[in-house]
Amino acid sequence: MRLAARSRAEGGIFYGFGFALSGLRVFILIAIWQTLVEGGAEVATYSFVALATYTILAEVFAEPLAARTELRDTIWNGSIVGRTLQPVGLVGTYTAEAFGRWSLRFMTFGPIALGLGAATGHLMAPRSPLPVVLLSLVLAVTVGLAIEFIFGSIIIGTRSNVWVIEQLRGATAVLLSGQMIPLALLPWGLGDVLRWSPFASVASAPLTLYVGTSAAIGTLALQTFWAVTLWLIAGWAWARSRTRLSALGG
Amino acid sequence: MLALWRVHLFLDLIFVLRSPERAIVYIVSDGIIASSAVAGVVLLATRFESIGEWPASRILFLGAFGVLVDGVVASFFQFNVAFLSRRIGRGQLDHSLLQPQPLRQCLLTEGFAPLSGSGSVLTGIIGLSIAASGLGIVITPLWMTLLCVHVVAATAIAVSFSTIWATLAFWSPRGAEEVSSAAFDVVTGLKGFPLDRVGGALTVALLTVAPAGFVGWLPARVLTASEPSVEALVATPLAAVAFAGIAILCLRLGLRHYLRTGSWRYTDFGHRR
Amino acid sequence: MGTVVSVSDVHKTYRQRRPAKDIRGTLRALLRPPVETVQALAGVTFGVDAAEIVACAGPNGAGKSTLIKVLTGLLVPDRGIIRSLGVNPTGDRARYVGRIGVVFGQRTELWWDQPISASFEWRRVVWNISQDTYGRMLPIVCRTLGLDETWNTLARELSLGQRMRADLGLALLHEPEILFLDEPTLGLDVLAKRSILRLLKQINREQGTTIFVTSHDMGDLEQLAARAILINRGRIAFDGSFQQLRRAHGSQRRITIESPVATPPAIDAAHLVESRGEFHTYQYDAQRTPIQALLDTFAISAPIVDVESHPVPIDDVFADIYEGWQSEARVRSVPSPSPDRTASAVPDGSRGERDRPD
Repeated sequence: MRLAARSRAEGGIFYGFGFALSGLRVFILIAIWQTLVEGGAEVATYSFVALATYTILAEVFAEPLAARTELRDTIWNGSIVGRTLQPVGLVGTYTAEAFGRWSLRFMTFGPIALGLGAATGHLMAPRSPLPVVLLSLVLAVTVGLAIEFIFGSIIIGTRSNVWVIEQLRGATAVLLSGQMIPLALLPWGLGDVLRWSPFASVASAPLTLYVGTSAAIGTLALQTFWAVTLWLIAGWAWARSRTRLSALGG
Repeated sequence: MLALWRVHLFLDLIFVLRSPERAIVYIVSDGIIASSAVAGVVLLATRFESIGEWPASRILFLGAFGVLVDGVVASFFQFNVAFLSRRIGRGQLDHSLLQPQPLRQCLLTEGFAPLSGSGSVLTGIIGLSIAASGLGIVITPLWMTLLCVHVVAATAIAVSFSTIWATLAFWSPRGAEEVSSAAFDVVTGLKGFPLDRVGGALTVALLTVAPAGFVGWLPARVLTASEPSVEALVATPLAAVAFAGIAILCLRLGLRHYLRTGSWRYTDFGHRR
Repeated sequence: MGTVVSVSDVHKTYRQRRPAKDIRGTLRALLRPPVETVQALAGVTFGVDAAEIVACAGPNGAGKSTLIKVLTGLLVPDRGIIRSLGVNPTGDRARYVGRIGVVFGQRTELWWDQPISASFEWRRVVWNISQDTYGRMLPIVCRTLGLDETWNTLARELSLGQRMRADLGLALLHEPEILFLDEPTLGLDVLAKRSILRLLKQINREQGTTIFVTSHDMGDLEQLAARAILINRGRIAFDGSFQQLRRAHGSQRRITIESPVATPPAIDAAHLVESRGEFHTYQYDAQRTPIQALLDTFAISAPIVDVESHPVPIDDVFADIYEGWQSEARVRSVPSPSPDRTASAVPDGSRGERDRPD
């Protein structure tokens, strides 16, 4: 974990530009919510402050809510082969490295965004008990990592192009998971359908629990269901794909 | 340059014909990925029928314009030309410097892949057609010319913005390796938002330090307005000239530094693939 | 034949960022990263004549890659003058690189997702190679480098050796006046190496191409080049022929004696380098000890079936030289009341007479 965090930090202050860009994204989305929610009205049970809080937290926790590891890069450049020669589990290694990388964002961007949000009145206190929200976050990361390894297995097993699958997943997951736009704000009842998907358990679940637009028991139960189911699938798929592992690069 | 574009078209053709199924996957997924970036705002507008003064069709036009720009970037600036910081940070710039052509010529031609990059172009054109029909826009040669000028200008702004940031990689190859893709994300991630009500300071910011406004909002306003003002008509092309000029200046400074320091790093990750 | 490359008092220094040791250091380094200065070239001066083949060797970090980069126009020296083909390499870069060929062993110029044929077509266009030249060079290159069998294979499906051969073919396509090669035989099998060395000598002989090559494979360098430049810590430590290098290192030779004894006898004037089955190899100084004396001493203890005498492999000569430099560096870095410098096998700055090729 420490190695991964340090490796990211050794890029120097230029790494912080990514944070500045994240901040800009938050600012703009909050302005959009202001346009939609005029005069203190609510939109699909979301007040303006709730939407602003949702956006800030989605950005601060963007990396764990996306649950991306080095898996796709190492598959693509072939270095996954070298990792199979290490006397440690692959899943554990990738997960630990991911936590290391995420920790840098928590230590730098997180406090600034949360502090500014609170100071400007755009960050509300959690509407659900904090332990519940934290448990949901842990489950979200668990589900996210399971999806990550399932996709990794698909790439290895089908020898498909890494980048196409990953970019498709990345682009659609932000929308399907409710990370950018709360699912309740989507038209045609899409949100009602998507909230049952595993993607929603990765991002929408903890965020909606925090702002109080979802029920704790139902949300946690659904996340637990997906965590168990997907990890069973991930375990099976990963074991199968290990025997078909071939470096796609290098 | 025509000969160079021709040979790169040839390379792209080989790539597509070698595996048509794979090519179709690329093209289709390209369109889906580009559309996803603007789909959120389009869906919001559909749900609420408008966002501020922008009805749903106009938001669709805005999003489709952005997708078309994405497609043009993918068609002309592939292989990390649009994300120059990757080439610089990974020490791959030497490959370009060892070619007997000016660097600008190399960068303007080596990324040409119009076939494999056509997914977003097609998606954008389809989206624009539907939106234009919904808005009752009459397609005249003049309007098409305006569209082309604004697409080219918006593309130039997006690529120039990414390149300006990319030059940081000359000074910090590892730290800034992904800075141009992060910068490009700002432009592509924000291009689908209408900015009329975001406030003066933020609007200025989105037309200067993070020019997402030029890559979607302002051109869409001009192209969907019944009588756009002259200032609005020339704003995006003029901004393109300005951003391109800054990008060229930054590149020159960065290259001067690079020729003094060289690059200790080298990975062929993403090089011509 | 005149001088095509002239390097005069060239200096090059790098500033390298040092990694932090702990978390606090890492956070501090976000704002002010610690840097270390490294002198890569320190007053390098030499010239290369037209149609000459020059081998450049040195331990890792000696400055070889930096030297190639300044010669190919990828780096501007801090001080000094470089003229290659009459121009400053960085001054008129685009035109200059059109007249040279460059192969970096670890970096392919091939398009990864394209067959070799496509990369060659791309090269023809970008380098603006005439159809005449392309038509003449392509068959030569394909035949000599064995590219016919992989002509339609994607670059990413090639082995390292196949990629290297294709890269060399690309570099030769436009008939460069000077060829800069950085580890060109890296990863190649014996046959491939032989064919490449043969091709390089052929183009040198027939087209007068000047070749500047760096490698860690000293045997290859000795086969290819008449002249060797050794670099140590950014300075030229030796510039002369391989024969002169051996003489400067000392007149060491090896003798392999075939004898049916399990334990070879000890010989005062020689040391045992290797013993494999019935073959026992000794190294000795030919100037001090005549071979007859060695054989006589051996014969006292064991019968001699066969004898083979040969010079010390050039790899071992270089290894001894590098070891000498490293010990010198260690001695210099340890403060002592009366510094005692260990003599290096090749004194820094020695210059041998250059044997001019006929």
